[in-house]
Amino acid sequence: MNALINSLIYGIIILLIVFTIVAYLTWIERKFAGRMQSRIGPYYVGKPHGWLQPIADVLKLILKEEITPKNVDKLIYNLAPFAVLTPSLLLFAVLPFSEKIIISNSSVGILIFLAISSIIIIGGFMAGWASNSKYPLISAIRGGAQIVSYEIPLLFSIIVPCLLAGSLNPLEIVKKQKIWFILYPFVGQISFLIFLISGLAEENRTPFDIPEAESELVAGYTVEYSSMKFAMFYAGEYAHLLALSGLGTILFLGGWKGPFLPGPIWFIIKSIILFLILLWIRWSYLRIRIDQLLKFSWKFLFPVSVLNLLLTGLIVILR
Amino acid sequence: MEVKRIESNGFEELWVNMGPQHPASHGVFRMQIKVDGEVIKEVIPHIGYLHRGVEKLGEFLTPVQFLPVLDRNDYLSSVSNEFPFALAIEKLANISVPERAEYLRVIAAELMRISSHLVFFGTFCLDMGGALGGGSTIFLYAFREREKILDILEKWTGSRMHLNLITFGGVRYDIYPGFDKDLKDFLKDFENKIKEYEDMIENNPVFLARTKKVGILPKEIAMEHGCSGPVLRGSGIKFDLRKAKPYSVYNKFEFEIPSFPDGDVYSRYKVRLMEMKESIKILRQAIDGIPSGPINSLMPLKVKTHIKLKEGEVYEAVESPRGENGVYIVSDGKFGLYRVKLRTPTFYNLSVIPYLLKGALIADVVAILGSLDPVFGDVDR
Amino acid sequence: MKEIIEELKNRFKIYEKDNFLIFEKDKLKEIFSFLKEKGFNFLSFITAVHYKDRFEIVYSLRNINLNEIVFLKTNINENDEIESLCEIYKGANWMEREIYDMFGIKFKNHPDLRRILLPDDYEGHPLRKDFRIDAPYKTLR
Repeated sequence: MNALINSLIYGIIILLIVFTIVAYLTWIERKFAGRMQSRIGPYYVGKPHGWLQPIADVLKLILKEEITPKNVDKLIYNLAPFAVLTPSLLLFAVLPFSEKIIISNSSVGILIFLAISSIIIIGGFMAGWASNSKYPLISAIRGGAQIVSYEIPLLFSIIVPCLLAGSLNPLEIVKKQKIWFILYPFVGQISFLIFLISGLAEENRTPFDIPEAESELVAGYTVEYSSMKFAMFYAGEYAHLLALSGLGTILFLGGWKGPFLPGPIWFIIKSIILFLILLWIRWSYLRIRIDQLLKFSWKFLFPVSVLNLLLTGLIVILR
Repeated sequence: MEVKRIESNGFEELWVNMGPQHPASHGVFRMQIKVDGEVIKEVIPHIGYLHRGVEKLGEFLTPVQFLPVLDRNDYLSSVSNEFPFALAIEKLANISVPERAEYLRVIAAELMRISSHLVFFGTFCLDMGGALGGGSTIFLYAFREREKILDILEKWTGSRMHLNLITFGGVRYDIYPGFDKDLKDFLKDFENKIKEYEDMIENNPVFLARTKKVGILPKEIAMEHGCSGPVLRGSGIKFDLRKAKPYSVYNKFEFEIPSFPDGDVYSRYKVRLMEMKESIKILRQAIDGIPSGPINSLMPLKVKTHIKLKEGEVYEAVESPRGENGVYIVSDGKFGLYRVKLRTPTFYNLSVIPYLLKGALIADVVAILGSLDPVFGDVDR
Repeated sequence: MKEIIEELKNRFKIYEKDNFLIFEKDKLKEIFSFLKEKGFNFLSFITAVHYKDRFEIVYSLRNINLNEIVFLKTNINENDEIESLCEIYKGANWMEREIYDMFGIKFKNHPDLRRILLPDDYEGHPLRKDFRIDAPYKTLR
């Protein structure tokens, strides 16, 4: 009973914190991107740094008119945004913010994370099909192909730290990191790189943002959505990104460990740094074509990640 | 109504419409694409959304009134539209041009060439990268350089894009006292920046993968369709009107003509990049050697609104950033023009689209269309 | 270049008037095949001019190797048809469609002769001299 109430309280607090951080992630992205392009970024709303911009955006999206096209499949059309937002928020249930703050302490936490994050694309596919129009359909098909191809390298790169730590429980993995796993001689760096690349692909971020390829198929599978439903897709994407960065810090960057500041703050800082790296890649690279993307995944990433896994297995046996 | 009916057989073929309003179509242009999976089977292009009837307008206006209308054809490099018209009328009316005016015309033409190629550079990467993503970074850098050019042109003539600079007998405005210092500062800065952008883009494996071996245009097809400019030079034929039939004072400058034999999107992009560097060379030679003298042989300008043309026909062409921009005038000896035909380069460049897109993937459409650098004021006039 | 023009004049009965070569419209295909063999494979433009009782169609070809340009003209009466150049030069497709659109001249054996710049339901051919620019335009709706 105590554990249930604990989880409930932690759940509500973490949800609120995650929503705020997700809203401000958009502000960080716009400022960062602006600076990279030698311009200022948000400025007017809350001078001089535009820090009230996310609040203005949320208000605008709530107050917009909801337009539903006539020929859509109503049930699936309305369910799709929820199918994208809910799993993204569920992912935070298995990430430990510090030694004691974790909503659900299960011994197969990483497995649950992977399983839930694969459901998110189903929401995207529902949106594309229910929109009853050619452009979202093409983009949903492309999205499905891309996510399926990049699941396997992601899986193999996540297994490496689990092997090195000997458990699937995120708490255990962080506790066993005497030195951060990214600093491990060879397999650490390669797994981190593969994790970054597959994470970007799972996330539909440039250079892999084919489902939302703006200049070919405007806005991809969310093209027929407006106002709050569109906001849910958007928030779901950022929440997924933050959860992925959180997973990255737990597996490779040492979780909540660090001097002076309390655990959760270090966790959030490291996640945001990982998020900034993903952002940096997004604003510097052009978009790959879909067939080159699939070729890259199956012909290059897959063998490399398998070899990496074998190497890790050898290291663990010899230890 | 003469409309072509399209039927699709069953569920395997999909007709996708890249409609007139589209973020990547560079203007108003409609394409109906028959798609099988991701491969394109057939393309039906539709143009004419920007048709303003400029050729008919030429029959009602006097030549001096017609000059500013011509500016709006290829709105990204307006000097190359006024240039052939001025050359043609000067031939028909036997007007001579002083040498200082010729140098000024060349300077304006080369500046607008750099500006137009910068727009190509920015929008090409923007299409391939997405408005939120890597493409927009390069887009903003390219337009930052273009702002400096437009500032110089604004100080010179008073307007940024439609300069209205060239007139019969010379140019309208003389350069201001600090012009050569401004231009030389800009050129020095621009040379370094071009090297930086070139390295940034060409070492990017994503860019190379998306542009090499994509959209190959064989040279026979290019020549039969009348493609000119970087589209022709990207297919291996070294033909540039500034060297083949030099007009104005281009025979006094030393520059080279880049051309690459592959014929794919990458060669066309590379041709334009190297043309920017050659333009820097021409500008340096021009600004160093500019003579002093009058800027127009028909002074004072305000009075000469009626130019008497002798009867006859003439065709004059100029190398614009997009190709051979020519004007064919038939005059009947009175004050107006009996028939004006504008040979605009993009109309002929765009007619190879059905060949280029057959067998390509949907994702290549934006790259190929961007590499032809269409400006729809040129196509539709 | 001079030899080519001489041969044209002798074989096909062309006469020259201020740098323009005027030919008869029946010999269109032979003349252009001949010129294409000689290296004039760059079709620069095709246009038409409406005089008081006839149309004049102007063709322009370039030879990249010899760096020469040649202009050819032919006269046709109103409501006449003329052979299309599409078999010899594929680029003539859009050029002849534009002439049909603006002047109403029909080309025989053209693969796809319909309007290109104006809307598909437009009535009239604007660049003719008898086109009234103050006539009202009937729109689709």
